[in-house]
Amino acid sequence: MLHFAKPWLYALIFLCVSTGITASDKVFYPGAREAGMAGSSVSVPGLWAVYHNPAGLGYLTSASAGICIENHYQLEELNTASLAVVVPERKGSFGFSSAYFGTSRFNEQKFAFGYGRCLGEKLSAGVLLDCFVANLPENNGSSVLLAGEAGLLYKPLPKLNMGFHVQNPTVASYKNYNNEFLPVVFRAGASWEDKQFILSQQVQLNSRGETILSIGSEIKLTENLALRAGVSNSRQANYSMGAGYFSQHLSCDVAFSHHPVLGFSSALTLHYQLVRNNR
Amino acid sequence: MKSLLFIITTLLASTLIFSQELTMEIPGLDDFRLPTVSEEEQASEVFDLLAAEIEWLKENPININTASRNELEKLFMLTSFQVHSLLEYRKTVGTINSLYELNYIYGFDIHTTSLIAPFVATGENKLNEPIIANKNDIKFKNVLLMRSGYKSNVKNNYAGSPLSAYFKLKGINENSIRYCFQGEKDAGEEFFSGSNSQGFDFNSAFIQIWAKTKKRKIIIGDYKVKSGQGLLIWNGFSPYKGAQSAGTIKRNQGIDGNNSKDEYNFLRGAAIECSLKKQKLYFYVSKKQIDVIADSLARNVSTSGYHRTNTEILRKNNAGELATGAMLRHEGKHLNAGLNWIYTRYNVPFQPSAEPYQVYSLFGSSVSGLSADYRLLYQKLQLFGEAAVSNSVPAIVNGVNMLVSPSLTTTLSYRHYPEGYFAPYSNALSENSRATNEQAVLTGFVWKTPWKTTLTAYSDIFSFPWLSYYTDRPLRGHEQFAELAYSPVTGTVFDILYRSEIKDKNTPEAEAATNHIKAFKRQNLRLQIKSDLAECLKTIARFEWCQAGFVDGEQQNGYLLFTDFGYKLPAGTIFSFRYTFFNTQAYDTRIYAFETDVLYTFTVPAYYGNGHKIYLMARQPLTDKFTLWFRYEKLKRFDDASKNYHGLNAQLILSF
Repeated sequence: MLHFAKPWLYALIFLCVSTGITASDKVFYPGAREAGMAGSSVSVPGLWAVYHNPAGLGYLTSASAGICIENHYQLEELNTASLAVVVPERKGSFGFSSAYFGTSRFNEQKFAFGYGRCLGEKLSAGVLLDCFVANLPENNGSSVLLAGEAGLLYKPLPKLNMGFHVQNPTVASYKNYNNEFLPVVFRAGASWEDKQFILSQQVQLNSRGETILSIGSEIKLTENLALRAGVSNSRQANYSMGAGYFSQHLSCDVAFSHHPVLGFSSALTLHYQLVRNNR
Repeated sequence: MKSLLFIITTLLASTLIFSQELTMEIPGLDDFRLPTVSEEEQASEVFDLLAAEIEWLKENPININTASRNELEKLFMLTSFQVHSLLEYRKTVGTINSLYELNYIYGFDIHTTSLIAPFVATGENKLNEPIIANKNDIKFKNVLLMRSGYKSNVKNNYAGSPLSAYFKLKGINENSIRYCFQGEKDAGEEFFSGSNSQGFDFNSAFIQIWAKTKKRKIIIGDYKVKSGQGLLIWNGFSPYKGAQSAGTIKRNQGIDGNNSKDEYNFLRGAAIECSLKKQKLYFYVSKKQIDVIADSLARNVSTSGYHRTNTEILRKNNAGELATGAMLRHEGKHLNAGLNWIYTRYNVPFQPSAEPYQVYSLFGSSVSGLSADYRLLYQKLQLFGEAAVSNSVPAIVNGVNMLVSPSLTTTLSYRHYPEGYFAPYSNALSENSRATNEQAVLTGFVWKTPWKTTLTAYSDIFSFPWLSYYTDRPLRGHEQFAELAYSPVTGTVFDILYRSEIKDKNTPEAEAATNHIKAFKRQNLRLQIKSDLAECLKTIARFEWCQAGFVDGEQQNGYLLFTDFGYKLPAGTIFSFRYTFFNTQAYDTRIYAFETDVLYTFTVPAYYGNGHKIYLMARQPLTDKFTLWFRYEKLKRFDDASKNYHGLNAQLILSF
C-alpha cells in the first residue's frame, strides 16, 4: 500500500477509505450539492442522480453535464474527480458517469451507464451497469468488476419524494481478491420539497453492518442562490454545509463538511445544462 | 419444555392490503409484537390459526343486511359497539345498499369499511339465510388447494426431504353441509415412507351438517371449541393484547370444523350444537393421539407438530387424550353469557420434572375445569369476563370497554391466573403462552382524532408470581405501546409505532442453581409509509429500529429497511416484490417483518445479523377455475454465509 511520511496519515487513510483488509470498496457518491446536504441525496433528483439514484434520471428534461472535484481531510491522496452526463429522450434519460479516486499508484475508478424513466405520474425507476476498476500496488495490473445498481423514486404526495437505491445487489466481487465483494449498500430516504425549501432524510444500511442516518436541507435564498446544511452519523463527516449559484445554463456548487477528528472535506461542482429547468 | 412464551399478535393493521386477496390487513395481527415470542415455530402456529379464520370468513361472507349480532361479531375487526350501531342503523334506516353506506354509520369510518369489505356482502344474495326450500339442491362449492415448497436451509439430518407439501379439499353447500380434508408434510418430515408410510404426516378431516329446521349443528371429525374468554379452551385464533377490543375480548364462542393445519390445537370426535330460543347448548367428545415429551415419565405435551428428527418421530402420537365437555350459552341483545365444562383425561400420568419452574405443571392424568363467562353490552359500556376453576385452582379475567365518544374507545382489564392454574387448551389474554402464573392490568385506548390521525396506545403491567423458563425468580414487567397513523389522503398512511417492554430475565453469566434476574428492556420504533401510487400499484416503505439489553448493561441495536411493491394487471395477474436490508447486532435485536406469501400462508421471518433479502411473488389465474401462485425468496447474509438460503413456494387452487 501507500507509504506516508507520517504513520497517522496511514492510519487515517485506513480509517476513511477502508475497513482494514478490504482494499477496494469505494462506493462513489459525489456532487457538492449532495455533500452540502450531508449526502442525504437518494430522494433528490438531479444530474448527480446518475451516482445517487438512477431513478432520478426519469425526472430530468434537459441534457446536462457536470464535473465534481472532492477532497477529503486536505490530503492529496484522497482526491476524487467525477464526471456525469445526462441525455434525455422522450420518456426518460440516459446517464453516463465516470469517477477517479486516488493517485497513480493506488486508484479506483468507476464507469457507469444507465437509464431511468417515469412509470406513471408518481413513480420512476432506473438501472445502472457499473464497471469498477481497482489499481493496487500489490496487485500487478488492475482488477475489474462488473456490478449493477437499481433505484426507485416515487411521490406519494405532491411535495413528498421517496427514494430507494441499492448498489451491487448481486454481491459482485473482485475475482483475484479473495472474493472480497464490493459493498452492498441500500439507501432509502424521503424528502419534502417546497418551492424554496427541501428537507431530506436518508437511511443507509450496508454490508459492513453500518447504519448511517443523515438529514439535509436546502434553502433557496433568491432565484440564483441556495444554501445547504446537513448532519449525519457517517464515518466520513458529521456536519456539512454548502452553497449553490445558478445562472441561465451554468451552476456552481461548493460544500464543506467536517469530521470532529479528521477535519474538513470539500467539494466543488460545475454543472452545465442546455435548457434551464426547475432544479 | 421450551414452549413457554407463546405469542403475540395484536392490534393494528399492518400489512399491505392488495386486491383483498394478495394479503390482508388485519387488526389483531402484527409482526411488531413478535419479539416477545420465544420460539418462531409457535409464531407460525398462530398465523396458521389466523389464516384459517380468514379463509373461513372469506368463504362465508356475512350479509350485513340479514346477519344476526352473533354473525356480525365474527368480523373480529369490528368492535362490539360498531356491531351494535350497525344493527341500530339497520333497524331505523333499513337495508344497507352498498358498502359505501357503512361509512355513515355511527362509529364507522373508511378504514373500518375497507377492513371488513372482503368479508361482507350486501343486497339480495342472502348468504346467511337458512335454506329450507330445495332440499334436494346439493350444489357444492368446492375448493382444492395444493401447495409445495422448498427451502434450502432445512437441516439435512432430518428423516425426510426438505420439500414441504400441503393439500386441502373443502366444500360448502349453501350453508347446510361443509366438509374439509387436509394433509400436510412439513419440510424434513417423511412422506410415503418410514414413519409416514401412509402419506402425509398430519391428516385432518371433518364434516359439518346444519339441520336448520331442527336448529342443530353436528360436526364429525376435527373441530374447534371456543368457550368463554379462553380460560378453559379456545382452539381458534386469538389476537393478543391490544388497545382495540379485538385484542382483549373474545367473542363468537361455539364450535366449528377445524380448517387450520395446526397439529395440536383442535379436538377430534364429534360435537353438537342445539339452539333453543335464545340459548345454545353444546356437547362434545374427543379422542385423539398427542405427542408427549417424556423421559421415563411423561413430562409435557408437545404442541409443535414437527416430526422430522428421530426424537420427534418417536414421540409422535405416543399418548392418548380423551376430552369431553359441554357449554350452555345465552345470547341476548345485551347479555351474552355461558357456563362451560371440560374434562380431559390422558392415558399416561404426567409428572413434571424436578426443575423448580415446572413445579406447577400438570400432575396426574386428568384435568377438569368449570367456568362461567359473561359479556354485557349496555349503551356505551361493555363488561366482559370469565371465572374458571381448573385443576382445582380458580382463575379470573375481567374487563370493561367504554365508548367515550364515537372517536374514542377505552379498555381496562384485569387478569389473575395463579401459578397452579392449568387448562390444557387455554388461550386467554396473557403475557405467558398459557393462562397461568400471571397477574396483570391492561389499559388502552383508540382515539380517531379529527386531524386524519388515529392514536392507539396501551400499557400492560404484569407480574409472574412463580418462576418461569427464563427467570429463576418471580418477575415483574411492563409493556407500553403507541401508534400514530396519519392518513392525509386516501391511500396514503404514515405510521409511527413505538413499543417498549421491560421484563426481568436471568442474567447470562451465572451458571449457578439460582440465577440473578435483572430488568431486560427491548424497544422498537417503526416508521412506515404506505402509499397507493396508482389503482394498480401499492407500495410500502419501512424503517425499523430495535434496541435491547439489560437496563444497566450494554445495549444492542438493530435496523431494518425495506421497500415493497404490489402490482396488479387488469387480467388478474398480481406481482409482489420486496427488497429488505437488515443490520442487527445480535439475535436479541432481531426484527420481524410480515411478508406476503401464497394465499392463506404467512411468512414472518426474524431478521438478525447483516444481510439482505429479496422475494418475488406472482399470482396468475389460468382459467376461471385455476389459480396459480408462485413465490421465490433469497436471503444473503454478509456476515455469515452459512445462514444464506433460498426458497420456492408454488400453489394451485382449483375451484369447482
